[in-house]
Amino acid sequence: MQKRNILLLGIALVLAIIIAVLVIPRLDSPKETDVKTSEETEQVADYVPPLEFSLLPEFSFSNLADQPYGSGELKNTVWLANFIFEGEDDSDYSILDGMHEMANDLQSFVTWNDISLVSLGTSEAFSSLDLSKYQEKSSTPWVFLKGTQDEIISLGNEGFKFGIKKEGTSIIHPHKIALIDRNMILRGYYDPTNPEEVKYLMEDIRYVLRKHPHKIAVPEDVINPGWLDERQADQISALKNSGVFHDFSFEDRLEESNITWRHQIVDDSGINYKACHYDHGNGVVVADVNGDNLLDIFFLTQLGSNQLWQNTGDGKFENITDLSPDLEIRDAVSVAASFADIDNDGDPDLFVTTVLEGNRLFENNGDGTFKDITAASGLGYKGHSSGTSFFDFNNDGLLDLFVSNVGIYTTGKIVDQITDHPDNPLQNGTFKFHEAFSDAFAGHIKPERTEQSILYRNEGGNRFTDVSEEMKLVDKSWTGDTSPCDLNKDGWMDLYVTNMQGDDHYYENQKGEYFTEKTKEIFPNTPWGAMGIAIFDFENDQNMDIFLTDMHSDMGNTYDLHEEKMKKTADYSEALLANSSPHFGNAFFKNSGNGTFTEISDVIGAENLWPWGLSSGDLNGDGYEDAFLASSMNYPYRYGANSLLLNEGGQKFLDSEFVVGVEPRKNKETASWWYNQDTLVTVGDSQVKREVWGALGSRSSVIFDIENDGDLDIVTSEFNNPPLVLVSNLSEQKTDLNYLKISLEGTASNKDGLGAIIKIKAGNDYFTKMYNGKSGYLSQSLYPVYFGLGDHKEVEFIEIKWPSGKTQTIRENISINSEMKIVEE
Amino acid sequence: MTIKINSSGWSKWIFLFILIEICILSFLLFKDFIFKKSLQIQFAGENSNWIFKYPGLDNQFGSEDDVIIYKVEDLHLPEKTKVSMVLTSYDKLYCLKIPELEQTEVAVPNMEFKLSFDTRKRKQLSLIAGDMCGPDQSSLNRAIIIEDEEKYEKWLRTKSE
Repeated sequence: MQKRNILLLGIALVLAIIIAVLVIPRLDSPKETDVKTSEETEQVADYVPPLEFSLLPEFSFSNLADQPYGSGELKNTVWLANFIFEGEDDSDYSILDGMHEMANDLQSFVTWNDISLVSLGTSEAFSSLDLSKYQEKSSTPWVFLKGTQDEIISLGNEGFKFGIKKEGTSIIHPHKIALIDRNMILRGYYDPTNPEEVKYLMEDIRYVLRKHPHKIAVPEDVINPGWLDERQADQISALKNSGVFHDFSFEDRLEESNITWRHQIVDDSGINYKACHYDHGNGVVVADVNGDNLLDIFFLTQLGSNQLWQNTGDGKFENITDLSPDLEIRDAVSVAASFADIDNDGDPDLFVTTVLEGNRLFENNGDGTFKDITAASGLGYKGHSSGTSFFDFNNDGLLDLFVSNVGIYTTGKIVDQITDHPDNPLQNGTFKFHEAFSDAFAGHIKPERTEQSILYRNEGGNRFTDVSEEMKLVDKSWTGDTSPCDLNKDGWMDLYVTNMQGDDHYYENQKGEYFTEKTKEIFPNTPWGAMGIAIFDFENDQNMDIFLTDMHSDMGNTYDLHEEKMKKTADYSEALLANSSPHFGNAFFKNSGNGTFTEISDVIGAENLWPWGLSSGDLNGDGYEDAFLASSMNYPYRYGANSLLLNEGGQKFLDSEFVVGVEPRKNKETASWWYNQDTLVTVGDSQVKREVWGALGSRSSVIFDIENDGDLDIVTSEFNNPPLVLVSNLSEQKTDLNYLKISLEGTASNKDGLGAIIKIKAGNDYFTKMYNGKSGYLSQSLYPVYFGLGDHKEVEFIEIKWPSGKTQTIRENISINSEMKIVEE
Repeated sequence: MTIKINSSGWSKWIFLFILIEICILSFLLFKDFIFKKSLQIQFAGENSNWIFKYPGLDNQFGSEDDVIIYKVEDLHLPEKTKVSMVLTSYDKLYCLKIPELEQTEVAVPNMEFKLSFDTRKRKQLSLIAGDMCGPDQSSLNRAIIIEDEEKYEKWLRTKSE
């Protein structure tokens, strides 16, 4: 038995060694994966793009309404053309019928309405045909252009190379359709009655909509992204089943407003694109600078002139910058601005930050003109300053100031830039800016690039002192903006500091004596790349909630359209995260009322793609605060829609931008000219520069009542483009709109009343707002606080908790649907 | 001392026990052979491209047989090797990931970060650029072919010629 066991042991040992030798190396054998080599992933394009035949000459004829119409109107449009002459046979009809049939097919993939059908002919030819059936049924714009026979033949032969011949009284011409691209270049001829040729035509249309011989779209589908209609249909369908009021709309009335201002970027965000902090753009702020009870707008730019536009009523504005030329700041790249009455003299003063060229303080002369008082103020810090917040941290009745300094994101080299925007001659010129680091978004892991933000105390007499260390508010994060707030309701304004590269910071005000950081206790996980912040009462429970937008998380991965509303999962390395403990994407911190906050952004629909700024306001007047998220990353990324989130009864936000006219933008535009390449390309007989087009995008916004008609409008700060002036028709559409606007005037408190908590009781509902002036990213404005009242036609009382500590309650003479001025008593 | 085993069931258990023991010991013994090699590769981002530097067959940087790869092509690594990829940048910030290993890293000028992994059980890996580098950085994406020593050295020789 023993021997047998020894034998078995020996066999086991041998077997084990054999198994070990045979099996273990197999464990190491590699598994097949799905990764393909670069050779295998290469794709062969089998589509041959249409040729460039010739550049059409300029022409002008008349349309059927006898108005001039020609190449000017068709510029930037892809169009199909055919020719009709009198005395022809039925083949003319066959061309028109073919075009008509195609017009319906075009709707399946043409989402930017820049494709037109054009029939060129003589009056006689058109009068002999029944054109109404084509015009009525076609969902693609169809223009009939009339000219004399000789004019039409001349254009047909010289421009279209149609080889039209007169033979006696009849005219011989090919019964073909011509395709013309946005650059007026003839790209091909097609027989609309031949299905094979129609198929090619459809492919070619798709191609020229996206490709242009000297217009390069970056990325390729940025001009005609193809998803706007689908998004619109989805939103309409989703809102149909909701209880939220959405039967109103915004219209971009930039042209009607007379505003001709245009934002201009530095080349570090254009032709020399680098991922750096210049792409954060600028704020836009409003205040009634001249006391006429209309809110005026101050636009900021990187290059060119900042401009002050006076509101002249009825939605019109007038540029009054030349009355205060110092405001232009053409010697620096401006970033952010705050309107605030720093000397309590009853008019809004203005503070502007710049990149390394000194921040500027302007005192209002009392009539809407401003003078530069930086030198004596102590606020002329030169650094990488960003958003600013005036708030009275020590409740002495004077507005103090916190200036966010991002960090050192420039190399020290100054660059000259000549701007030559074709649509912006008045803003063109030669400017200087500080070149950005190409690794600016790694700045936070390089300690030598740290730049501390500054808390200034207002000492009176328009003088400020840096008290950051004294007040123990030493913030070295890469912050773009802040929001003052009294989250613990002790009557002292605390400060939430957003960090665009790491954890945010929350500083609690200890009775004006010093600040204590309480981030980890109260906000253990904040967004990693926070931009905008809005603090408001989401569900009308009298507690202030915090909504934060996070753009930098969106750069960690590529997100598809269907992923925009999901929680983000940025793939950032430990090195880049640098000991932060973030969550990615937007954050919505719901205030439980007991000092704790819960993050519920994806639960309530507060996520979106590439958000920058955030503004809140009751846009539909239902008593619940809505939000506008200024979004999109611009060149060289894809177009991202601005978000308008309607608050459904404090339960969730509903995506509404495609329902209420914010999206798609006018003419479904998604892209604009970005820069010209130096290289020349041959088009027809001429040589032209290549134009690079990039996505449109907003950076900041301000929600206020432009025309004092009782509803809230939106003005944006666009990146490298003119602003959007989105005027609401709510006051006309909602016949039972109930609202109340409250403007504050502090006496013991600061004159603006910044920091006041306003509570309204109407019926059994409470509406609470904290007035801190933070109107959008990089922006602080002074405006009446707007309360939508829902169905309530009467207000029981208004309670104001002033920064001075006083509580004032008003129960009488409250007229809704008006603006009410409340002076601190 | 005599160990009495009266049933064949005991024998099976002992057999299995010893087998497992031997397997573990063998694994530990073989482990040193499996991972006997280590390889460091340096690479840097420049102009939205990667520049890879291999130490060559002598596994020493600074010698004549160092291999530098500028072109956008597949990379090769030997199997059963501890690989350490030292990462930097000559211009901007690059983010990259190796999805198969769930590893991410950044390339930053004047800084070095390491991506370490072993090529055991792998035939291919991929380097994928993050969006922080720009919207279309396909030129930064690479397939990494992991192959036996002989093939790898052959590939390395073709690159050093």
